[in-house]
Amino acid sequence: MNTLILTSIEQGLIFAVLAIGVMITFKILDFADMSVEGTFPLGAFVFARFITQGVDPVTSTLAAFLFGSLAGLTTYILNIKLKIKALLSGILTMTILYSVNLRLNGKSNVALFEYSSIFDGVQVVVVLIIIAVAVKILMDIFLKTEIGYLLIATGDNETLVKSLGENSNKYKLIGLMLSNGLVALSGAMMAQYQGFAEITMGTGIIVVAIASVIVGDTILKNANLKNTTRAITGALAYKFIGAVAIDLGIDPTDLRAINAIIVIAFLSYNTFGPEMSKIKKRNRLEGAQC
Amino acid sequence: MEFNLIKKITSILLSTVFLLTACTGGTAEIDGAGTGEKNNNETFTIGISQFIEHPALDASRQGFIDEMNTQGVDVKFLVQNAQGDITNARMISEKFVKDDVDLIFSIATLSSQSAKQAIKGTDIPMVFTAVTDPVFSQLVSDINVTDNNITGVVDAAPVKENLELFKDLKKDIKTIGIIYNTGESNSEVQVNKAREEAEKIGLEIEPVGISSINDIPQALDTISKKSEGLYIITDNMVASSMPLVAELAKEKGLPTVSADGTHVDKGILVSKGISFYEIGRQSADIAKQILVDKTNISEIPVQHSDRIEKKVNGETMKALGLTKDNDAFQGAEFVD
Repeated sequence: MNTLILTSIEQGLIFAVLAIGVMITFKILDFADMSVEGTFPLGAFVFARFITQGVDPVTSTLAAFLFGSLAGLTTYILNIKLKIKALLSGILTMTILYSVNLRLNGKSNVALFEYSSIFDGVQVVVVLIIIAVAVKILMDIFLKTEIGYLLIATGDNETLVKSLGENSNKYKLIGLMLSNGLVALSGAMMAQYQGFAEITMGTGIIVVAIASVIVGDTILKNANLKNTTRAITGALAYKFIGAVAIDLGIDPTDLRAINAIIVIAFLSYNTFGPEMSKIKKRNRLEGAQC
Repeated sequence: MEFNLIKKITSILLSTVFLLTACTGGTAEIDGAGTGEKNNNETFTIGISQFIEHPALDASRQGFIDEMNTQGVDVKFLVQNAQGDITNARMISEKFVKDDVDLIFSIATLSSQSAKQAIKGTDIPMVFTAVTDPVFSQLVSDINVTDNNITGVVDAAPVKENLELFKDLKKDIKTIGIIYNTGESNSEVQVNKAREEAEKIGLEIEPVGISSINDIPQALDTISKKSEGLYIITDNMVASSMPLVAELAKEKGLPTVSADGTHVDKGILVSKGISFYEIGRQSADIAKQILVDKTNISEIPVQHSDRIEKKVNGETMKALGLTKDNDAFQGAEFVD
């Protein structure tokens, strides 16, 4: 099971960064940002562009983050300045990014095997753990600052923020830029991990991200875990489940359905498992009192 | 009592999943029934990594399995399909590495690129197929050199010869249209190749890109205005909507040429090119050389398909007002 577990951990950590990014918009800001599907490959193609021009992998990866945040800025402009509905703004950004991604390198698949990456000379999983933990810690610190609190407040109760004399739009902007920057970062990491940037990388990525966030929310529901921790555990769990499904060697056509069924089973057990023991305890106590 | 029911349902669900996986676990493994003389008593395990369900890719897989059986090699096939998900493709390759397979057969570019990453640091050989340009995809550094345990059979078509067919199909033809998925790198490669070859014979290519199947009717409209013929490249999106493309082209009176015989079955006028089933068989031959004959993989450079077939669709031919004695149809198999 060794290489398979390792691969699911590695892919899980890359998606953990993605999940933290999506958590900011979908969960905290309550903004359904669909541009993620375009921003993820954007990170990959920006990285590819820079690395093929001879820039070092670290700077190229950071460039991906930067360009990702610009994508967030685009969605912001569409939503706030042009007053287009949130969902549509994200979709429009995603559509624009499809062409941008193709233009960046002039091709839809950029092989990166011959170029250096952030994983050169080090254990891949070690680098990924460092990045995921760093992102988590920085995000936790940020969410405890004044700006962070106002960001959370904007998602919870925009009117309250406005009544405090703050411009809620400013926090939406920060949230969108941060979120898409992280998604692009995740895309750049994935490109280096899989060895190529591919235009279809982003297809279905929203499902993966949201599933990771929700699975993370449901694990140890009653434990007091930070949002960022939940995003990371959710992504790892989701990928691990996928690996189990593949390792079981099920009929290839059933792969997707089995994946979903395992997630459902896992979530149901988690939802009803802990409540079960609570109910049992209560019944036992009541019985004792009789 | 309510929660007992829920607990029951959950445990039934869980056990169903595990039962299912236990039962169907066998279908993903195919034991090769070797016919004819067995070469030796060794049983090999081959991991087949297919990227997506698709007639051409399915044909390659079948061709590979059939040829291994015909040659009498005792093989246990582990068949996995990434269902179009790149991360799955990687996990599938890693699973094969973990299972220590004797060889990985990868079908299509994305599965092959993913497998390349997985076999790094191992000595598992890899044979790919249904890849148009392995140098562009960096599967190999040079088409004639195999130095990283990776070789295979490309699905490149005889472009120049196919474009020349147009000259026989329509007198004084000047511009040929191509419809392709902008998101497929293999298609870009083919469009560029077509442009190159077209220039050599005095023709112009007018490519129209699509990003979804819904764009096809509009694309065909544009092509019929600017071009006098339609060249069908091996593009997954176009291939999956072939009946529609063929029908629209026929309506607009555009002669169509493809490199894939299965397209002619769906209505394309004439095809001259590779058979995906055959390149699957060719790949199996390479695999046999590596596993049974113990040939060093570095001595097997990437191969092109060694069988060209020609097919014509009789109905489409009549609809376009052409006859069997047209030069373009010489030596072709006629289907309706």
